[in-house]
Amino acid sequence: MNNSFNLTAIERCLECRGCEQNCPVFQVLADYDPNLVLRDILEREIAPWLEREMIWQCLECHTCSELCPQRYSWEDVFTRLKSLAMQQGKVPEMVSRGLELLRRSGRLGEPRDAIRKKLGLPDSPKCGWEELRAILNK
Amino acid sequence: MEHTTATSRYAMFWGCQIPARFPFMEKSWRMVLDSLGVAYCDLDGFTCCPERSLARNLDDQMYQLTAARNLAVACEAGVGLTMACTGCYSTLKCAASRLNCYPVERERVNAALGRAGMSYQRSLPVKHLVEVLHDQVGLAAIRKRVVRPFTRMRIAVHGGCHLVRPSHAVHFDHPLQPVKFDNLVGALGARVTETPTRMLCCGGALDRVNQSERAMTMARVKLKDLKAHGVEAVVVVCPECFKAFDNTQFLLRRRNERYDLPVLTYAEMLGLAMGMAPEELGLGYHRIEAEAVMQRLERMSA
Repeated sequence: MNNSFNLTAIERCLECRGCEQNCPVFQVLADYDPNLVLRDILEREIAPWLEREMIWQCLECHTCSELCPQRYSWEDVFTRLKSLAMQQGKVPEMVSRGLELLRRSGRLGEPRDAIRKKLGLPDSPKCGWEELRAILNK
Repeated sequence: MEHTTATSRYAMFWGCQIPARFPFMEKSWRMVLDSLGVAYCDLDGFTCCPERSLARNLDDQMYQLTAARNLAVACEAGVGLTMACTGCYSTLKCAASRLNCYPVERERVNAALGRAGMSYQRSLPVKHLVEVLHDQVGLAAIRKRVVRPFTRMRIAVHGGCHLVRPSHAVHFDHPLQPVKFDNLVGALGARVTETPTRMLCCGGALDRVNQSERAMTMARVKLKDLKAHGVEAVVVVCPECFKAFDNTQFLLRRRNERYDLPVLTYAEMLGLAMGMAPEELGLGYHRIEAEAVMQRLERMSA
C-alpha cells in the first residue's frame, strides 16, 4: 500500500504548507487537518484513515493542485485514499448510492418529465447507457 | 487544434443534475440562447459525464472511457459541446485534454470506441456557456440586448471551482482570480461585489458524502460574508452551487437562521436583463424567493 503514495513528495509537502491557507475546507472546518494524514502515511499508518470521515472532506476543488510546486498535492493524497477505501467497500452511503445509479442507468437521476412538460421543454434526449455498457463490457 | 467561429454549432450537454432536479435551468438557458441566436442542438446518446469524484476514484479507465464516449457522440454529429454544469465541463475538458495530449491513451480509447463504430477527434471544441457567451457572443452584443439593467445592484459572482480548474485542462480564465464571468455580470449593469469569500467553494460536495452539517457550515460562511457586504443576490452557473446556496438557506430557515439572499443563475439574470418575465424563466422554482431582485429592477426601470 505504501507504493501508492509519493513519500518523498509528502515529506516536502509537510514542510511547504504553501497552499494551506487557500484550501477552502482547511479555512472553514476546524477539525480538518490533512497534515495529520500525511504524517501517518509517512509512519505507514494508512489503514485507519480509510475508515475516517476526513478523507471524504476534500472537495476536489483543485485549489491545492493549482498552487503545488510539486504537482503532488493534498488532493492527490486524498483521491488515492478515497480510491483505496472504495476498493475495500468503505464508502459513505450516498457515494455507494451514486455508484449504484451509475451502474444501473448510466446517469445520476432521471429527467423529470412532468415538470418538463409544464415548462414547455422538449422531450429529453435518449440516454446512451446501453451503448456505453456495451463498450465498457468489451 | 481547436477552431471555432461565432457560427459554430454546439450540442448541449445538460448532464444529470439539471434535467433531474432543476429543469427550470434548462428552460432559462434555452430562452436566452434562442434569443441571442446561439446555435445549439440536442443529441441522443449522452450519459453521465461521469461525475469525477465517483467514477475516477473508483476506476480511472471507466471514467475516461465514459467521458470519451460522450465526446465521441458530439464528434459523430459534427458539432462542438457546450454545457451549464461546471462539473460536466471540468470532467469533459479533462478527458479531452488527456486524449489530445497522450497519443497512446487516444489510441487505446479509440480502439474501444471503434468497436461501437465511434471515435474521438482532437478538433472537438468543448466550451462552457460562460466561455461561449464571453468569447464568442461577446460583451458588446450582450450589452446591446439589455433593456432592464441591474444598475447599482450589488451582485456577488460565484463561478464555482470547476469553471476554472484544473487550469491545465480548462484554460479559458485564471484558475484563482478569474474575470470572465464577472465581466458577463457587469455587462448587465450590475455592480459586481467582491468579498473575501469570493473564491470559497460552495461545499456542496460534502452533502454528497453524508456530511450535510459540514456542507451547511461551508455555505453559511459564504452567506454571512455576502450579507455583511450588502450583497443583494449571488449569481451562479453550476446546479451544485445553486443547490448549496438556495437549498441550504431553505434548510437554515427551519432553524430560524435567515439570510434571504436570492440565488440567480446567469441565464436567469441575463433573461431578466433582456426583459423576459421571471415566471417564464422559472424563478418560481427557487426555494429562496427572488422578489427583492424583481422589485429593485422594476424601481430602477420605472
